[in-house]
Amino acid sequence: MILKNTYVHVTAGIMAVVFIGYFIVMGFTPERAAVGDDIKITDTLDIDQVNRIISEKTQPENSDKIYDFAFELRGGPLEDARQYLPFLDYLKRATGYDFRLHFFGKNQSIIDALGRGDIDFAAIGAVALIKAQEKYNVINLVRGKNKKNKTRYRAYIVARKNSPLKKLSGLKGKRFAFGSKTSTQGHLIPRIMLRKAGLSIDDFSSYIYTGSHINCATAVIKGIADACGMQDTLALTLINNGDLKKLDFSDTYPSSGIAANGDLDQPVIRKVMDALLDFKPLGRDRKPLHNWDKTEMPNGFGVAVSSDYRELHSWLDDLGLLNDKDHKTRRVVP
Amino acid sequence: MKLQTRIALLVTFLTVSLGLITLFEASYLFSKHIRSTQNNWVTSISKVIAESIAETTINKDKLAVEQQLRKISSFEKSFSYIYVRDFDGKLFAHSFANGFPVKLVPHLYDEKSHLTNNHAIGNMPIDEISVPLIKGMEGKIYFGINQSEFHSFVSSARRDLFFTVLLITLIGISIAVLVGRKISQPLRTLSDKMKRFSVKGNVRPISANTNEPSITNLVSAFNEMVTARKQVKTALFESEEKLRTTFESIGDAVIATDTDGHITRMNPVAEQLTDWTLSDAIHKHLDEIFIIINAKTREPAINPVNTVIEHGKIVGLANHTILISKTGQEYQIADSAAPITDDGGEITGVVLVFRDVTEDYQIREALISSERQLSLHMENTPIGVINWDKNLTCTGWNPAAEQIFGISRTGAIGTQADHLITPKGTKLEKQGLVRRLKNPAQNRQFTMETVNHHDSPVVCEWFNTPITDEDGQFTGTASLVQNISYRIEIENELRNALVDAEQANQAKSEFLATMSHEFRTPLNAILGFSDMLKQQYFGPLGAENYKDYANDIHNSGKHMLELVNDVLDISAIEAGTRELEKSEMDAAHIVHDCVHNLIQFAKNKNITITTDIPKPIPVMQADKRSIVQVLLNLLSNAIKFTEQGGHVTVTATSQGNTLKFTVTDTGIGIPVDRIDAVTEPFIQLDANPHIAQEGTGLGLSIVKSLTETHGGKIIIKSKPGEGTAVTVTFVCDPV
Repeated sequence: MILKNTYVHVTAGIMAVVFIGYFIVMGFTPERAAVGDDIKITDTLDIDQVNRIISEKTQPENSDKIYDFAFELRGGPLEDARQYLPFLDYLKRATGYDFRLHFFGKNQSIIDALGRGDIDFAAIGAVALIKAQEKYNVINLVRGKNKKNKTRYRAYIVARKNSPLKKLSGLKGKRFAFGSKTSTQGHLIPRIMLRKAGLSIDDFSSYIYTGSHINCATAVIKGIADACGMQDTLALTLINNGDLKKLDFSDTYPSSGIAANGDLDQPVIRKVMDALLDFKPLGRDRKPLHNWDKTEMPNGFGVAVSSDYRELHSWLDDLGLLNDKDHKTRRVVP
Repeated sequence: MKLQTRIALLVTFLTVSLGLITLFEASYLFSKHIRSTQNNWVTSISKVIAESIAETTINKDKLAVEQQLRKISSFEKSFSYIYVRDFDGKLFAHSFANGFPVKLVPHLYDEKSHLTNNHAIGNMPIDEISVPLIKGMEGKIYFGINQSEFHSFVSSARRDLFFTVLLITLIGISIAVLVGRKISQPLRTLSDKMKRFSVKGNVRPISANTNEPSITNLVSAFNEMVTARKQVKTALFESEEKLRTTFESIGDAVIATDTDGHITRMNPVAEQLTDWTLSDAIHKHLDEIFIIINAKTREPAINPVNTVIEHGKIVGLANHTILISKTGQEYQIADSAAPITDDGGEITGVVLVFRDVTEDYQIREALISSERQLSLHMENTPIGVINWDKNLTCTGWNPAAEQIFGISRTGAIGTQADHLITPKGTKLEKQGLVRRLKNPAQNRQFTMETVNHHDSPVVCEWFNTPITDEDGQFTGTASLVQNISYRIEIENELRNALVDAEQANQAKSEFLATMSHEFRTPLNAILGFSDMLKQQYFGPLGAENYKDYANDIHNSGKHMLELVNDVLDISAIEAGTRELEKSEMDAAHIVHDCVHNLIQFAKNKNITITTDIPKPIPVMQADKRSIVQVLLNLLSNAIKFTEQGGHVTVTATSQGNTLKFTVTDTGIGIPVDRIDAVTEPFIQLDANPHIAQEGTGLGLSIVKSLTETHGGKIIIKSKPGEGTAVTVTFVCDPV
């Protein structure tokens, strides 16, 4: 009798719908860990084990090789990537090969990586190239062209704008900053300039290797060093901005270029070299590039000859830098 | 289920459905929004973190990266873990305390592999995202974002939302019930009314009891429908009544069937002709009721209903169709069948209309037969049949007219009367003809002599009848023309013959008169002298033979005298010279006298004569002599032709001024074929001259003549071997 009542039916129906709806809406959520709890995982591996698995899983199935192209980190990883990735895209279009961008930081030896074949190509300075060729089979493919279309560059020794220093001779007993130890413009050429000025690093109260041209400039601007040796383009920019002043600049020396591991296939090397020589960053190939004019090869590349570095090689030898010996160094983190 | 309940249920269902939909939708949107917000925040944070770790990774400073990762993990609790893949595609650093989970290894080499919200690592729901350390390069940083808080937050929000929706649903249901009750009340009322309306069809208009425009409109429409229906019903009833009255008063028989040929209606005339009542015939098939045959072949005729249904057209039955009623009565019928269609043109039935045309049929057949006979007569009659229009142009001309007037039908039709009939007549004759024919009512009959187209004179007798239309207007003349030329000739001859006959009769009468005297004179002498001899007035004759001879001479003389008297009588009668001399007479006395005169004659043959006068006969004025002569003749014949021992009876009666005498005998009788002849002069019963009867043979002829002269008649009834009864009547004058 009660069940025949329509309203009871309706109410029962609604209640059923409500309960069903509640559970549907709310779901059957099992007990979970709260935020902040540690994840309880039992099945784990260490990093090496993981990387071995990765290596096994990522064996290339076909012969399509990806060529590792390395650059030294200069402005910062993002900015540098934005600069060099479009360049590698050009190389891919020009050669048909795949390229992968590598950066080398301060603690990494681009020379050894290129020499061992960990990387195939690298943008490399003269010092690094000379050292690499000393130790490994590394081929110098091309040299960077500056804005004046020359494949030579200089180094500048600069000081703070309001520094009392006026010339190199005043650097005795001062604090000096170099860029990377393997940097040509940041280390070798300034050392040549100092030698020619009758100075050596022992004449400084202290000297540091900042790792990059910008770090050098920063160190001088901040007063960490009294002067530094850096690349010409950055120096001129900062001088023009009024952040620094020139103490001296060097003669021209062969600019940085692109080197390749000598064990690569010759056709590959030839093709890449041709593409590099054909690179026109200020003309046809300008559009996808980003701030290429701020690199050491703003106008593309020119032919490189091994004899170009003979003078620098003898300076390296003369300065004892071929074997890479340092005395007092301090890392500066801008 | 009640309307109110249905409304409540419907609204409830809608509310619950909407509520659930809203809940799901809100829950989904909320969850999506939260997730989206979280993702955006995580993406932003992760990009910053990636940038900060990129250089360190490039520098291969693993320690620094790990420290950074741990710092981040501890700072941001929602990051359950972080790990970095370097630019060589290898695992570089991670934040897991106890080693890298195997479950995550595939993520390092499978770009598409990430944990999603439904997956858990360990006991935690994780959403994993990855961000490149440097865009365009291989290195990536992976973040495992703990969804527990998100889940609990979403669950909590859903729960709150659920209860809110539930509350709104319950409120909605309550309102639905209340509103439903209110809404449905007028609708319930309307529904009840409509139910009653559909059943009884008679409902008073209702009021809406609400201000809701849609319901008031509905109620208003319903009321209008009720009113309209009443009007329509009334009109329909009147129409039906008219139709029924018309149907039943139609003079023809009407039967209506459905599309299967089953009877649905019959009118009284149909009932009468088929001998089926509607109550018996309804729903029966037409074939059972309407039995028809071909009048000529007597074969069953085709049922028209099937033909109508098949072709959808009006069908008329073949001619000569006979309907056989239930009782076997046959009627010649004329009829048609037609389809009954609805608005869409679909056939819904058949109506059969028929009537008894037996009489018409017979009349028509008779007319046809009559026309055939008339035509036969017209073609074969010797009388000319001519039709004229009102301008006296010939429109009809039969062969007899051709013969009479010597011109064919072809030449006659369309010709004017004066040229046709009096081609060579004078102007006066033509005018006379025209005048007569144009006025046939005044010139019904005339005789005219003309010369026909063969130049033969013809005398014709014309019988004219005016022809009028149904309004009585004169339209022409119908003429019957009889060529009486031959008759005229005969008449002339007869006329001449009559003159000759009259002259001869006159001569005969004179002769008879002369002869009467010439005959009587010697006869009187013969009779007188023979009687003297017979009586032996002057002594005996001598030999006995002389007496016999005298007797014979006397009898012969008497017979001769009777003959002469009879001849003279009949002559006088025929000549009309015998005039009736009427005087008062007593019929009874005359009877007795006549019987008395012949009693001896009867006794000689042992014949009894009886007189029978049942009622007294009044005295009348009549020719006594004629009556006596008639009676004497009849009695004489009766006695003469009755055998020995027979009987003769004389009966006399009167009726008004008519005297009637009947003489009955038991004599030899007269053969039937001789009865008429015996009243002819000189005819005796037996014509054999060797078996001569007494008498002259003029008796009955004289009786007949005298009776007819007296305005009466003679009737003879006789049976050979049994007797004869002769009845004569006389028309007298009252005294």
